[in-house]
Amino acid sequence: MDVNLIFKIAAIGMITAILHIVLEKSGKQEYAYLLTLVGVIIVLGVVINLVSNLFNDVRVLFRLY
Amino acid sequence: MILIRFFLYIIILLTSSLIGYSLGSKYSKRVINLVNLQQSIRLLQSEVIVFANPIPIALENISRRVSPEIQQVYSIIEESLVENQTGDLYSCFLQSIEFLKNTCLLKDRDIDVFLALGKVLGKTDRTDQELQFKYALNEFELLIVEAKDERIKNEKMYRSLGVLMGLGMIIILI
Amino acid sequence: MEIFQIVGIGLVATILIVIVKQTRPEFAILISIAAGVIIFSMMLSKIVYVIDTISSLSSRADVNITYFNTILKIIGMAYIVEFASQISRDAGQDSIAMKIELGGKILIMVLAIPILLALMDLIIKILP
Repeated sequence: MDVNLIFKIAAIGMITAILHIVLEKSGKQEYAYLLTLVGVIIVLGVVINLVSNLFNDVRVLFRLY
Repeated sequence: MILIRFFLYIIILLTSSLIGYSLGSKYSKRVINLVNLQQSIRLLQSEVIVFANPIPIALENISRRVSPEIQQVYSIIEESLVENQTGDLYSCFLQSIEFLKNTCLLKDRDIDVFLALGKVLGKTDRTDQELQFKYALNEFELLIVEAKDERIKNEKMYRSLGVLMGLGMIIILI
Repeated sequence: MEIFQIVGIGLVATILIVIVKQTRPEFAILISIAAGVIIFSMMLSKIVYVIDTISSLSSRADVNITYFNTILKIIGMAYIVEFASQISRDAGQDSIAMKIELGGKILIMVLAIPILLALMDLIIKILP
């Protein structure tokens, strides 16, 4: 839960971008899009975790039960 | 503790890069083997047509001047020639299919051209043999061009795929 | 001083988002969500402190505790709605941002109705 998480997500994003370009240039566009989707889903999992923690905290904090 | 994790990351990166490299080397190996096979057929052509050597002696002569993999191909053919004694060259050529496919990584169409040559070798007269050799060499030329194309497309892709997957896994794990 | 950490995280996230946005815009959104969550988590303990102080102040000033709770809920809802709608707007989806804000407004109105009713009762009582 600190800066490293942001770096991780950005790095995964950049690697996915490079992989997408490599796969596209060698002709396999379907795999390129599939891979981008997989990367987004992985990062989405992490971020959704974070957001659910956030919402829990807000709920307790502002007594929104 | 940190050192162990560091080593683990390096190992993961190296492993996936190696996998990528080896997947990519399939294509470059096919090109190299095709070129060597074509060169060996040229040598065979000069042995049979110019020197008019019989097949076993021709095979033995060229075994010394080709690359190790092609040398093994011809030694397989020679062995089965000595074993079978039926004098059918084509069936001896058939013995080398497994080796050509698995170790030299040649495709079916490459092997077909090679076997077609084996079918007619030593059976017809000199002019016809010359035509057969020319035909086989031409076919190999086309196959080499195609294999080079495939190599340009695929080898780099598999290599970068391996490295990038390794990096991706490390980043997820860090 | 946490302010430096917050500013640092914010700037780093902004730069990374600009870089990533050109090739993979979807990752840019995720980075901004993550940065927002991280910054908020860092502020959590301070917010708890402020709310506790205000709550004890209000109970000492003899205000009905339910009013304070309602206001607190409204503030919380407003924050969450703004968080989500701003992220949608950053991603270019203004319509979805409006829908989120509409939902927030309606729910806040629902929360505020009891207070409105209480206010009406008070006014009616005062009127002859």
